[in-house]
Amino acid sequence: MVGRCRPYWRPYLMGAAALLIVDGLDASGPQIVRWAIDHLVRVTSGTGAAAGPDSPLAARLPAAWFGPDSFMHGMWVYGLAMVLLVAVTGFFRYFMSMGFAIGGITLSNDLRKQLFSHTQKLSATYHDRTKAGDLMTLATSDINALREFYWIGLWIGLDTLCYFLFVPAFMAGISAKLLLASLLTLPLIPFIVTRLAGRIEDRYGKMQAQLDAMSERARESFSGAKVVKSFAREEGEVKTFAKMGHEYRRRALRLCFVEALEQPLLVLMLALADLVIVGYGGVLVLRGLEIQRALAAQGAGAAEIEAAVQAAGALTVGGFVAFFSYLIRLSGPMVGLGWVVSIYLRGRVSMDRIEAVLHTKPDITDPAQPVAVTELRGELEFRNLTFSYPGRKPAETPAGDGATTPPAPVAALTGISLRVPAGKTVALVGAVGSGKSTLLNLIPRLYDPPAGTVFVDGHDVRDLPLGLLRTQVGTVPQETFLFSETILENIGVGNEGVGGGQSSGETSIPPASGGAEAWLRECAKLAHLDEDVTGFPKGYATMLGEKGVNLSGGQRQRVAIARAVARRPRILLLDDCLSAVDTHTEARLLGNLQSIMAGRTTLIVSHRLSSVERADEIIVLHDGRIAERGTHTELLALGGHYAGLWEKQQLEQEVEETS
Amino acid sequence: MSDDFEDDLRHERIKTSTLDVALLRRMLAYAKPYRLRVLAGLGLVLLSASLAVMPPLLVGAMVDILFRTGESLPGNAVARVLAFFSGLDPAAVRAMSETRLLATFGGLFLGLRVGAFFVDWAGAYLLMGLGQRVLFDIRQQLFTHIHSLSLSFFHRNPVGRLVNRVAFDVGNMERMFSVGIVTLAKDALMLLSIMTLLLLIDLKLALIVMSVIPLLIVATVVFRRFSRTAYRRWYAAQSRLNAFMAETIAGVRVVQLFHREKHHEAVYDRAAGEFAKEFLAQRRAWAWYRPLAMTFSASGVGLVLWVCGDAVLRGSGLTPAGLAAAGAISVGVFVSYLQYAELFFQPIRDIAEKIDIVIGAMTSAERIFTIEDERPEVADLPGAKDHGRLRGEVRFDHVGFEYKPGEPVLRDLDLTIAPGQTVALVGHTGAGKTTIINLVNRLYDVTSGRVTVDGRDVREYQLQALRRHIAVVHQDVFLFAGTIRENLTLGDESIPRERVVAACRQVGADTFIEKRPGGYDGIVEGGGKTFSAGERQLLSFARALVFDPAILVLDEATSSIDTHSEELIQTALRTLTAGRTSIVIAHRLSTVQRADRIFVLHKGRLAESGTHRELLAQRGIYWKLYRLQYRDAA
Repeated sequence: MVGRCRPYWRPYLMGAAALLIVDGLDASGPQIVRWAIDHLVRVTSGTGAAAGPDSPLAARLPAAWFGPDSFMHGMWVYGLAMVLLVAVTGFFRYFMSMGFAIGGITLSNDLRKQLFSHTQKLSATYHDRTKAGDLMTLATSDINALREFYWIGLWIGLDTLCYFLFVPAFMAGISAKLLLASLLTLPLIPFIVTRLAGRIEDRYGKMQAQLDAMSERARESFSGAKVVKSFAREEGEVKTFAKMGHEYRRRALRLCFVEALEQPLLVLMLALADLVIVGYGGVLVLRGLEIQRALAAQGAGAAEIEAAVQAAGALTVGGFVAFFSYLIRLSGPMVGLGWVVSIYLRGRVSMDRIEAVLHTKPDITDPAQPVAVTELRGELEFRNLTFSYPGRKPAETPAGDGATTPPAPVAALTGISLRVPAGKTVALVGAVGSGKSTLLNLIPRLYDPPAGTVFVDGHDVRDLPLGLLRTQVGTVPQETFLFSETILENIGVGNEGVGGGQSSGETSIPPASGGAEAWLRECAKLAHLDEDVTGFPKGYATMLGEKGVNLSGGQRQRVAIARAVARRPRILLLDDCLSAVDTHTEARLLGNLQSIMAGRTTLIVSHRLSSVERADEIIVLHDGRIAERGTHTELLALGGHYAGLWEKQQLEQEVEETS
Repeated sequence: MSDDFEDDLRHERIKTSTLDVALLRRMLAYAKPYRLRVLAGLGLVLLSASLAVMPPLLVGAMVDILFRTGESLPGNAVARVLAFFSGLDPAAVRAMSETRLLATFGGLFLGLRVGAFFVDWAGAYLLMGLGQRVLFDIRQQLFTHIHSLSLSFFHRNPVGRLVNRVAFDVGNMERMFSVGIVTLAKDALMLLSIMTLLLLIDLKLALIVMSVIPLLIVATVVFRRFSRTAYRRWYAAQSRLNAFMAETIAGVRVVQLFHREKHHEAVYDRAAGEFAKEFLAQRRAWAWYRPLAMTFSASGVGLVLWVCGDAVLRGSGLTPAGLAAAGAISVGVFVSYLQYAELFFQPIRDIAEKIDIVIGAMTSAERIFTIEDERPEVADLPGAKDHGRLRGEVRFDHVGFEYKPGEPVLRDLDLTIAPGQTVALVGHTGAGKTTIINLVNRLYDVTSGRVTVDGRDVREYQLQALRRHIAVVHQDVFLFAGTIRENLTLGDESIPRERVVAACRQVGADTFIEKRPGGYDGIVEGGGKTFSAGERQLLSFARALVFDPAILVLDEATSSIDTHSEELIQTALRTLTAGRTSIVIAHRLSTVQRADRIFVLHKGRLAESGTHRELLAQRGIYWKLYRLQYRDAA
């Protein structure tokens, strides 16, 4: 996990370097305290009153500053040293904070970008299986957890490590024996941390899973607000959500129980250290004081006393107090250690979840050796195509359902063979679920057909560059999805470089001036959208709400038609695209569509036979197989299903004509 | 882009001046039902704080008593305070042998640590538990509230944003209770205890040490102002980024089909860049504040070293009587003071850090409260009643309606639908057909005039009572994640399975449902993407039928069904419409033909009405619409 930081070494290096300085300076703070106390004890107990400067700090300064007649006994030196030390530390602290923050945010942002780009590449099959809410949780909660790790986690982790190196080093300088004795409990810490951490990881994962479920439920519930309201089912929604909330709380409380234990337990580890310092340290100080008094009585100098105390392995009062100071300084990192571990574990859980997505190979990608074509003519061919949706296996029959045989995986399409010469129009007619939309979806490889079944210009679609294929196939899907951007952007984006513009590398919005916009407006006119849009106060710059909520259903479909036409596609796929358009508009649109369709290969799905009548060939699908095919006249002559449908619509018509 | 961002800030209702106290009070109100738990928790925190301030006192006492540095000095103060807390008589303590003293201090330290362990554990668990309970309440209340709001609210707010509030913001606000309050309370109590001790030991010295506090307060107040603004902007950026990602994922098929990946990545980069920029701005405020606060607090320690050290030295060589006169102190007092000075600023620093959490929680709370403060535009009026099962007479009485002021959708509309009648609404896109059905079940309220059901204004009904008897089949069929059955009953467990199966049989949905793995208990995946449009339509028919409504509303429901399936539907519709008022928006001829009455709408007014034949004979708008649809066939 830490390996991911390598590309971001600059900010991290700045942070880490500053951190080393900060911790080093911070750990030397208690030394000043130690010197000050020793100075006081010596002077007040009369053991070294005449001996002048005695601390390494005082030894480097004029002795007069510390003498009996000096300004405030020279104590201001220690005070000032303390403030200066912290101020200098603070200067480096800024770089430490910013270094880790920059590293963390950049890394997590890039990771989210990777996730975002990758989900865009994963095929429709994947998105059918995966809830949008789950992906959003990854992009929000899990990325947040990782940002915490790569920012605070690494920072505090390194900080803790440095403290555990620097502070004991200073403590050893005071008394190595006492250090060894007081840190006896240290080895226990990794043991406790790992034991607890396992539990925390487990319980956190369970809690997070429940939060995912709740987010998804909320998303569903809010998306379906209209249904919920219309059927007055608010109470039911609230109840279901409450049930999930109770479960979440149960899991969260189980996590709280161990999390609440972690910090106090680690601090308790210091209790033993306290005992050792009080007991053993106390004895060492008493021994030191004895030596001091004895030597002072003999009239020995300060340096001599100091040496004797050191030689006996004894402790001064200042050293004793400094030990406590250091211990307090270690308790922070001790708590931090637990924190870091839990941040790390959360991060790892999140990283696993994100990597699971990143490691999902997009199953529909550019071919390894794409056919070298730059433009399509638009000849379409299906050769004995049989297709079933991947991953839609028959699920296990529920236990209560008895001994019914599980249904075999149903092929959505079976044995379809069909050739559409460039520029021709083929209509698909058939009952609900007969495979019309599936057939259309296979052409731009929204789902991948088996190799050797779907061909464009004689090339297997799987061998064509994906970008080329998709830019030259224009689809008007059954359900209109618009983005919350301007109408012009909705029509034009993805269109770059198609309409003759040379800005193939340009990814942003097409320039508002010049030929591009004129062309887009032209398309809007063809789709019968222009009148509506010019009526809006902001015209084509009108921002659409989520999924185009501020347009009517018919307007949305017309935007979708304009969008498909705008890319000057060689192949046009119209999947029942006029369902939400009223009869009046449909008639005019159909007229326009004729001119759009002219010269382009078109596959059109419609339930209104009047709109498919003029097609070059009409295919009647039934249960994924071609039941009938031919021109309108041929099919009528055939006297089959199509003829029956036509007759019925005709009959209805005639009845009305006579009235 | 920056325009967008500013717009977003406005949209998120980011305020730059709010009375924090009012906001905090409102947040804390959530803890009210758990008063006892809060009290118990605070009690434990108080105990924990008082245990945490003991060690310096003990160390000071050890120096003075065990190491005999202050036997004759007013440092006795330390011993006095110690005696007060431990119950040991100062004289008795002084009289102890060195070994006993060591054992006594050792015991005191051990007791402190072990006591602190249990107190801290229990306190943290108690308050984290409080946090979780409050979290549940806030989330549930918010969820319930969102569902009580009118449809226009859902149109104004992208679903991603609402989910963000319910999942992320509520979680953030919870941290305020579990982490924020625990640590803040503990820190505040520690500060209080330390101050008390400092004052007890030596008043004059205490005042000198505390003289740094105003500086710290000023720094903290300034920081908080910066930080809060930065936080708000950061959250707004985050919200925008999330909404954008949610939309892209929802529309990923279109992204792929139209090769928009690069464009979406570019938009993503801008949004994520904004997010990072605001994050770093917030961190920068903190990176300035923290060293500054630490330097100020170090000045406190520096003052102790200087002033108190001087006070110790002033006493060297003096007699006990002279000591008091000179204002001198013992080494033990000095040691205690020094440790307190360090300890004193730790809670202050801690508070500043934890304020981050509280500020974050406040920002989230603000956003939650913005939603909580939304009042449903359509709500039960006082005196609204449940009038039981409806007969199904619907009347529009001079109804005018506008979604946006100044843009009337319906103008002075009058129409009457008799109980049991099937009527068809016909007209161009935007003629107001959908609006009419939205007014019948009060998804919106009329702008002028009134809509009555069974002779009563719809506003006299309780909303739930009214809607329970009106089933709507919407244009876009919405399927929830869950089993097919749950989708048909919408989670109402009181509806027996037989009724569900019977309803499906009536609309002909049983065949394809039973073919699917799991049958009625089969799971609907990905919003029903595995169903064809026609199948979804049939399911929504079944859903309407399950609820056995008095009034049935079909919104262009027949439009995406092929003629073959429509035959099924037409049969089912006959059963479905029998005995109940039905309002149908349809393009299909057969539906229109069968209707008892057709209302032709034109630009929000009722243009024509009558039966199919009557209207054709009129050769008016209806005739034109009709001719257009079948022109090619003629």
